[in-house]
Amino acid sequence: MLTHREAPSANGGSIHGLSRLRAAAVHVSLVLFGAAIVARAAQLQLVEHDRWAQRAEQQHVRDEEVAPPRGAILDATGNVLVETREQMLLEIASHELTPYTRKRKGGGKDTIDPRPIVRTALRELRVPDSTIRKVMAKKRQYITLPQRFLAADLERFNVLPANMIARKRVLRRVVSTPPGLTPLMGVLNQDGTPTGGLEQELDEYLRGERGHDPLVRDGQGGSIASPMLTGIAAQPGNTVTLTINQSLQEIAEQQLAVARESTGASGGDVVILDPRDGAILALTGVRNGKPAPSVTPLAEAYEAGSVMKPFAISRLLELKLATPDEVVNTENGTAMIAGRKVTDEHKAPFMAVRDVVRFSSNIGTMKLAQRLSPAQQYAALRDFGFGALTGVPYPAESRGRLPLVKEWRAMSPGSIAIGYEMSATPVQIAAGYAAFANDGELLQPVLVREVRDPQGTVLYVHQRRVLRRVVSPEGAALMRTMLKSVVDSGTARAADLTTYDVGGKSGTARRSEKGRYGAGYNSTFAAIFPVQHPQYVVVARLIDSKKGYFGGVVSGELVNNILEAALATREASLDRAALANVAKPLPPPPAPKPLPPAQRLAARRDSLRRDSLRAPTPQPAEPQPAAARVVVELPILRTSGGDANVDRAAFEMRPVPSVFGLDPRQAVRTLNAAGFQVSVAAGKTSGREVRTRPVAGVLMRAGATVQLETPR
Amino acid sequence: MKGRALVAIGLGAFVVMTALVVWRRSVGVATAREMRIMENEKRSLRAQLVTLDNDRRRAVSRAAVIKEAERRLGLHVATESQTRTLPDSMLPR
Repeated sequence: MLTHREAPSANGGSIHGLSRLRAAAVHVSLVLFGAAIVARAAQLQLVEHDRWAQRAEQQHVRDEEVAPPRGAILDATGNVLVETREQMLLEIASHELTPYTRKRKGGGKDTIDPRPIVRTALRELRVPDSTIRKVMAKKRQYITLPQRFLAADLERFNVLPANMIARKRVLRRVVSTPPGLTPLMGVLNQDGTPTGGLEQELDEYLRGERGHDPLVRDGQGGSIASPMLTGIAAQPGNTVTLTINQSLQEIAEQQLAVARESTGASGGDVVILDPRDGAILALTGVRNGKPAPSVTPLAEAYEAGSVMKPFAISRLLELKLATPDEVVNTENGTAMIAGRKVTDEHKAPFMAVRDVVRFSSNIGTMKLAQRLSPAQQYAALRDFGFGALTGVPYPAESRGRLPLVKEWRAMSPGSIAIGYEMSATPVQIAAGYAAFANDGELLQPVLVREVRDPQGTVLYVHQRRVLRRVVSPEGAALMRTMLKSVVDSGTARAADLTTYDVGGKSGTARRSEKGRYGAGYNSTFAAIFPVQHPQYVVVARLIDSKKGYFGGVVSGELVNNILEAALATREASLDRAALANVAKPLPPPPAPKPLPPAQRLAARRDSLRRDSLRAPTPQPAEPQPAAARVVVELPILRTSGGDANVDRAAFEMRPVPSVFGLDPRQAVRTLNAAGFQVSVAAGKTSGREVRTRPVAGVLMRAGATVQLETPR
Repeated sequence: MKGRALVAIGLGAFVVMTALVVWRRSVGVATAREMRIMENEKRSLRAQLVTLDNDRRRAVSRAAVIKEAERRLGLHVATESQTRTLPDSMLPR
C-alpha cells in the first residue's frame, strides 16, 4: 500500500498542496457553518428571543377575552332590580343525532338513539314544540336555540356524545323590577352596549373591565388554563343603589292601576319624593293601559293647571305683595281678565288669599298674579326649577316649557299663574312642592343613593344638595297651612286621612294635543304628607278620566290610597316615630247599639265567664292550677337526643272545656274527658252555674288540675 | 467504569428525567383540566344561586304576598284608620 509519504512523485508537492488546500477549505466551510449555526442560534436566543417566544406562545396559547359581569342595580332597601346572570346557549347538531354505541359496565355494548333523549330533555326545559321540530329535522346542520338555560339544566345532555351538543356561556342582563320601572333601567344591545335609561347614564360605573384568560391548547384540540401564565381577571362592574323603594313602587303602580280602572283614565303618572333629601322613592307611568315606554314622569311635560298656583302665590306673599287674609274680588265666579272670560268652579263674590288657594280660584289667582311683573313671575317659576333639567340621570328627561318673558302675550301672566302656557314634568312639580315641605329649600331630586365597587368600598354616596332657597321658612310654613286647608276643607277632601294631616293642591287642566285643547283633562294632585313634618311629596296625575275629572277628587283619591297602603307597609321609607308624634287623636268610639235579645243572652254568659276571673283565690290546701300560658310549637321536630322517647301526649296543651250550664256531676265528667284532674270547691259561686278556674279556653297541660267551683 | 457504561447511565438518566418531565406535565394538564371543570361548576352554581335568590325575592315580594294573603286567608291591607303608630314613649322599655 502506498501512502503520500511512500510514493513521492514528480508533481507530488503540488498534489499534496492541493489536498491540504481542499482540507483547509472543508475545515473552513465546516467552521463557517458551525459559526453560522452558533450565530443564528445566538440571534434566535439572544437578539430575537422575545419575538420568537411571543410567536410560539401565540401558537400554543390562546388568549380568551373574559367579559365582565355588569354591576347590579339595587333599590334603596337592597332588593335587586337589575343584575347580570350567567346563562347557557344550547347548540344542537341535528345531523349528528344518529344512533351510537356505548360500552356497558358489565361488558357488551348498547346502541342508543339520541333523538328521544333530546326530545324529552327539550320538553322538560319547556322549549316550544316548533323549535323541537326544527331540531329534529335532519336538514339543518347546527341549531342554536333562542332560549337561555342554567348550566345545571343542561346537565341532562351529559349522556350524549360531545359532537351532538355544544354549550356556550353568555352573560344576560335580567331586569326584575316592577313593570313601571323597566324604562328607567334601559336596555343593552346584542353587543352589550347600553341603550337609554340608567344603563346608559351610569355605564361608566356599571360596565366593569374586561379580563384575559390564557389557555394552552392541549393535544385533543381543546384548551386548558395555563398553569404558567396568569390571566387578568375580569373586574365586575360597580353596584349602584337607587333611591327607589320597591315596596312603594309596587304600591304606586298597583294604586295607579286601580284608579285607572275605576275612573276609566287612559293613563297616568305617579311620583313619590322624599322632601328631606330629594330622593325619588317611586316613579311610574301608564299610557293606554300599558306601562309607558319611557319614564313619563321625567320625560313628558304637560300643562298641569291649578297645581302651579301655589308657586305664584308664595312669591306674592314672600314679596309682601299680598297677605294671606287679604280679600280678593272673585266676582261670583265669572270675570273678564286680559280680554278672556275666566270662571271658577267654587263661585264666591270675595275670597281671602288663603281661600283662593283652598278653593282653587282662577279669578283670584290671575288677579293676584297681576301684582307680579312678568320678570318676577318668570323668576319665581324658574327658581322653583321649572323650565330646567332637574339633574336626574335619565337621558330623555324633559326640561318642560317655561317661555321667556319676551314671548309672553297679554294673557300669559294669568295663564301661567294657573298652570297654562307652560308645561312641567311630574318630577319638577314634586321637586317644587318639596321646597314647601322642606322649609323653603329647593333640593336636587336624586335617583342614585350610592355606588359601591365589587369589594364593597363606597365610591359615591348621595349628599343632600340644596340648590337654592326659594321661600323663607315662614313662607313655606304658611304655604303648608294653606295646602292643608285644601285637603281638610277645600277641593281635595278625597285625599284626607283620619290619623294624619295631608297638604296638597289639585289641578284640573284641559289636555292639549297638537296645539289644540281637546275634550280630555289632566287631573293632577300634589300632596305633602304629613303636613307637619313631611316625609313624602306625592304627585299623581290621571289622563282623560271618564268618571269625574277633578284632580282633587280622582287623583286625590289615588294619593289617599297610596298613602294608606304605604302606612300599612313595613318597608315604605317612613319614619314611624316621627309619624306617631304628629298623629291626630283617635276619634271617640261609636256608641254601642242595643243588642237583640239572643245576643244579649250570649253577652250575659260571656260576662259570667269573665266574672270567674275575679273569683276569690282558692283555698291554699287545694292544688293550684298552673299559670295559663300560650305555647308556640316550634316547627322543629326533635328526632334524636335525650327527649326522643318522651311521650309527647303527656305534654300536650289542651283548652279547658266550657262547663257552662252543666250540673256539677256532668261538669266533672266533661273535664275528666278532656284529660284534666278536677278539684271541686263547693259553695264558691254566688249564682246558679258552675264555673272553672282557670276559665274555659285557657290552654293547660293534659293531666293538670282544674278547679270546679259549684254554687252554694 | 468504561465509556459504554457511562453512556448507558447518561441515557438512562435522560430517559428518567424526560419521563419525569412528561409525567409532571401530564399531571399538571390533568389538574388544570379538573380545575377548569370545577371553575365551570362553581360558576354554574353561582348562576343557579342568583336565579334561585331572585325567585325567592319574587315569592316574598309585597305583590305576591298580598295577592296570596287576600286569596287564601281573606286578609286585606289595613286602612290608615285601622292602624295606629305608637310614639316611642308608649313602647315598653
